[in-house]
Amino acid sequence: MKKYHMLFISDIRHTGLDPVLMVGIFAPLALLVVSRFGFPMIADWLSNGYAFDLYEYSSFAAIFLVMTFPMLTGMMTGLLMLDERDENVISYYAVTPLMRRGYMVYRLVLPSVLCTLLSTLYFIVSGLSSFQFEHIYILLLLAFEAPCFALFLASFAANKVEGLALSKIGGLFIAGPIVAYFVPSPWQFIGAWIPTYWPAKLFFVIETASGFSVLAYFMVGLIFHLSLLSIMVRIFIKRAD
Amino acid sequence: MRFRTAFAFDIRFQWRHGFYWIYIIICAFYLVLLHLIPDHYRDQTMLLLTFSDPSALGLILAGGIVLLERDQGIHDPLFVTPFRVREYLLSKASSLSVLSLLAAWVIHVVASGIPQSPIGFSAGIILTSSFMTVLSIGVVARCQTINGFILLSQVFALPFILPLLGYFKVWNSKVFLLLPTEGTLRLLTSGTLSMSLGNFMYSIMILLFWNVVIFAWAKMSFEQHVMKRIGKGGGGK
Repeated sequence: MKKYHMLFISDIRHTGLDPVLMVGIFAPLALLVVSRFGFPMIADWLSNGYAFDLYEYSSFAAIFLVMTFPMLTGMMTGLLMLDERDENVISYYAVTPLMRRGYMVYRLVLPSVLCTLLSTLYFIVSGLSSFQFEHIYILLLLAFEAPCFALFLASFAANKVEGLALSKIGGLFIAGPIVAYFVPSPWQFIGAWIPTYWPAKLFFVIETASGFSVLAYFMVGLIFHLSLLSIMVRIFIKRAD
Repeated sequence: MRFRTAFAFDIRFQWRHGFYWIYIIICAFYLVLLHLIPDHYRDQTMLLLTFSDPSALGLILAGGIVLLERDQGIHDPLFVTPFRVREYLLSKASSLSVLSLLAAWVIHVVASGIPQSPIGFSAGIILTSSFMTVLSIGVVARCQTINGFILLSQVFALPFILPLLGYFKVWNSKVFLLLPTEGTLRLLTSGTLSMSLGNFMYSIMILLFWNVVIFAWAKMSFEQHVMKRIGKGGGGK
């Protein structure tokens, strides 16, 4: 545990140089403030000026914004890993007691923990959704989503330039909640290959159903995320060797 | 001659690193999205997508290219040749403008046909893309890591998205007329609506003016933060 502690201290020291931690914490908090205070203001403005009821879409806004947390923390971690790989830092970690596996575990657990904590806070405080016990299932999927985004860049990009180009495609994965909310039921499974679809779909299922269907969607989402993670970990390790 | 070689090399570099393939996927995604959007919102959404992505793609990608070149120590040997920073910046700006132009035209032609004013639309894309690319290089020269660069580039680019507030009638201010992106929005609108000569001239002039200003700033920034460290190891780091 001490080896991870040292790396964490080093990350905090280098926050000014590489602001993954800073942005990973403050950007979601800024979104939280916008949701809590900005959303009602925009809703009032739209209601008075355009007779448009934004509150009808508050649950969609909640899950759409939460979905940016794993994307943000994950992709910034992925770019950091590419930066470290381009500079051969990973090879140095590989010969320390941390080893390559320890480095990867540390890099992937940090965005996962950050994403889970901030998403929990968002569900409780944002005012756009009320926290229910079943939301724990969503938090679990989000916890696996952040490392998936990190490895999407770190596994498939050869260097930081390709990582940046891939992050453009990564940004398109925000389509998951849009598909889950707006696309009619028989067609929306076309979007099932998008990781963000599953937590969003689960969120809407929790609003309308309970028991078996919630558990079924969670299990499918979990298996999908674990499969993705396992494939990408293997590709990353192969590439690092 | 040196510029032509650098331009051809940059295009090859972008092709090799999959930029063109990635933009095929992004364009396809945008076209599906535009197809799903109701007709009366389509033109506005298309303008927003073109403004925020193809025309501004250099903002993120150019910085990444410079950081990678610095890690690989390319700047050391490159700038001991007669190759100048001016040519380096022009080559990066023009090569990424080609990708911007292609992506913007594909989106526009497939979603709503040939732009009503092809010259105005193309000029808007090229001048905005070169502005964003050069801005990105000016910013990245001051950064050490990719995440630090992304953060700083967003801070620098933030004032330039303000004219969108006027476009969407959220808040209008005469100050927006001083920003290059006001010109961009007017030129991109000429893809679907006709445009007066005065409007066209204003948009071109404000974009050209800002391109010159940002070019001078980026050249200075690059010379101060990258060129002066060449030969000290770490590729200018």
